[in-house]
Amino acid sequence: MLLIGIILTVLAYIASLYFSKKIKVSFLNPILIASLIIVSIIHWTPLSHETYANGGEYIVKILGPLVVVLAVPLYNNKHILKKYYKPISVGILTGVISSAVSVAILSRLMRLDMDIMLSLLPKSITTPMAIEVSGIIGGIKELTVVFVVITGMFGASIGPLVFDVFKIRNDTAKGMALGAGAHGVGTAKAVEISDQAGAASSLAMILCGVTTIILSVIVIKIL
Amino acid sequence: MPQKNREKIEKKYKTLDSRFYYFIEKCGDICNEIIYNLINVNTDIEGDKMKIIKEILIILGIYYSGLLISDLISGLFFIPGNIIGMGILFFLLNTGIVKIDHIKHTSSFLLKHMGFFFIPLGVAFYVLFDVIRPVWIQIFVVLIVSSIFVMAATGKIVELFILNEDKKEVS
Repeated sequence: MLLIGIILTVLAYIASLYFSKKIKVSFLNPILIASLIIVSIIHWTPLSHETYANGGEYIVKILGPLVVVLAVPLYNNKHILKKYYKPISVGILTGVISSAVSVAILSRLMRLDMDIMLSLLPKSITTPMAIEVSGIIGGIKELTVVFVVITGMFGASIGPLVFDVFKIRNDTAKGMALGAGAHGVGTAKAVEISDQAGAASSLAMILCGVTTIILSVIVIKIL
Repeated sequence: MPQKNREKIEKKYKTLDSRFYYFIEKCGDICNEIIYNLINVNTDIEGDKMKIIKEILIILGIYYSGLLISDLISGLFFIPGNIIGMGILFFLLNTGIVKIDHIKHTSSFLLKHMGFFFIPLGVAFYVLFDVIRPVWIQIFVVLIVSSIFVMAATGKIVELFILNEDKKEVS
């Protein structure tokens, strides 16, 4: 019973890699395709979500050690951090604060519920860290994951247009914006622009995540 | 060609039992090929097995020490254990105690296939969709407007600061 969830996830993931290789649409990311495959299986066959989740739980547990490994890209791009520490630290603070403030104001305007707003808040940071933040501030983790994935796909595909409209030409700035706004999917897009943009993007992605976690801990402590 | 092949196979695998093993073997080969082509992982590694176990042990060790530290300081301040673990690994890489080569295979594999570990959470959305069904348009508006705002603000400010810095360097 336990194995069903794990095997199904592996098969769906392999199928989604196959599809995304074949279709070559950059914003369709494997998480979305694989989730859709499994959801349709749950919907159309007697397999219940509980049975699936029994095995799926063990896959999600590996997310803990996964964050540790994020130190590797941070270490690999250390030289950029040294060269541009001022622009990068300002950019990260801008990214984190603009994301939190815009989500808070917009959700208030749209009259969204408190727990939906809390799940929306970490939408711009990388998924394993977003889950942590969601847990700290009291959001719903499953909703956060979906919001993060949608933000990544949307941000990465609209990024180049935003750079055109706001006349952002510097590669490091583009990379930072993609990393701060669209985390992993944005980083994949930034690598296509140039190596420099890719490195800046992965730095921004990780540092924004860490900053958001620390800020959320402080905010929760104060309140 | 198929006839010849069949004879060969039948010679090699005379009984039904061994034919079954042949089938399994073939399936294994096909699976290996598919996995290798899609995920770029060689599942045939023999000598490297110990190395990969070592890599996993290093990462797990750092993760659990991060959890331990997080537990110890939780009275003062809550920081998630895996973030502390990330800090420890970054520190160890900088001091050269752990080298990139020590964790190369496992880390590149995990970073490349990060998406895989989120699939169960994405599926759980199916159960939760009823919660957001009445407000999903509003949520979409929030997501879209906010991510455009974040990218424009971050990009513009970073560019201004970088141009400033480069000007200083020139003069």
